[in-house]
Amino acid sequence: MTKTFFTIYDIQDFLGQGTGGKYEEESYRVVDYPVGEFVVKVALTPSNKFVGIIEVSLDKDFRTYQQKLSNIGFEDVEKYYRED
Amino acid sequence: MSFYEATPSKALRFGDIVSGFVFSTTNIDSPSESPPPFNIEVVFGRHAVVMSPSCSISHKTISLAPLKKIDPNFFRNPHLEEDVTRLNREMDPRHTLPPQAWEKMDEDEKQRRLAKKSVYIWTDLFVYQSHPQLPEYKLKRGADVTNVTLYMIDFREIQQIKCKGIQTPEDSPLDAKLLELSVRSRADLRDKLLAYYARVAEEDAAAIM
Repeated sequence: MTKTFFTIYDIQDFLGQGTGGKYEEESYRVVDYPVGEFVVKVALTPSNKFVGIIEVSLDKDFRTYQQKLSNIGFEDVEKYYRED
Repeated sequence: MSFYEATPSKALRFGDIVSGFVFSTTNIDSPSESPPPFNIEVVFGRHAVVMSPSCSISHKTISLAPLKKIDPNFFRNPHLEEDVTRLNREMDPRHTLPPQAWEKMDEDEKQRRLAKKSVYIWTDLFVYQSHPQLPEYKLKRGADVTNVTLYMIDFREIQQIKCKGIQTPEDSPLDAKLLELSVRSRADLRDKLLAYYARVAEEDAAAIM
């Protein structure tokens, strides 16, 4: 069964959690797939089973450079990638 | 949109992969008022990326960053294993770590990271997608060894090269040009380089506020 979702709340309803319920990140993961000039956000289960399409958006950042610079986030993740 | 430009322009451009230049690295223990002991490593034959904006490719000067082999540890993260060039762009904080690392994290730390919406990781690095024109090398991932043509650059390794042949982007040794980024990839490189230099130290940020 496939279904197109348009908001994250649709996903929660589909998974039986409802809006206002606790958002369980472990239920699915969201992956961006570029398709031409668009980006399609797809929901997948942890075992990569297709759940549905959450969002389709233009693959374009409309922010000015000033807006981008004032909003850039960084994370230092190196220690999480080192060999055990 | 593809990573590389299918019909490259006849000019050197920001983000181009080039070859045939000579690179040097100076090593000292610490600076001093009189010349300290030093050694200089000189390397020929490395492919490199043009880091000068096009309008600054002139006067026999260009900035280049040598291509280097990809870090196999990136593939510990399935999100990067699917497409390692995702590292070039801001990403959802949940995708920045191997899943086991995210699951072990305490809730407060997760919420702190999620509050950022989207972030850059490996801020010093930019990955170049595989291409048959790039030299193959063996990449060890766990027990597997595969031949790859994936490379990356490190913004900390950008260096100036003086070359008599470089007068303008069009009047340059174009035989040295191998590959050109697509418009989108070039924008990603520009944005990540901007982000690399835009980081503000906490003490500076506090003073500015």
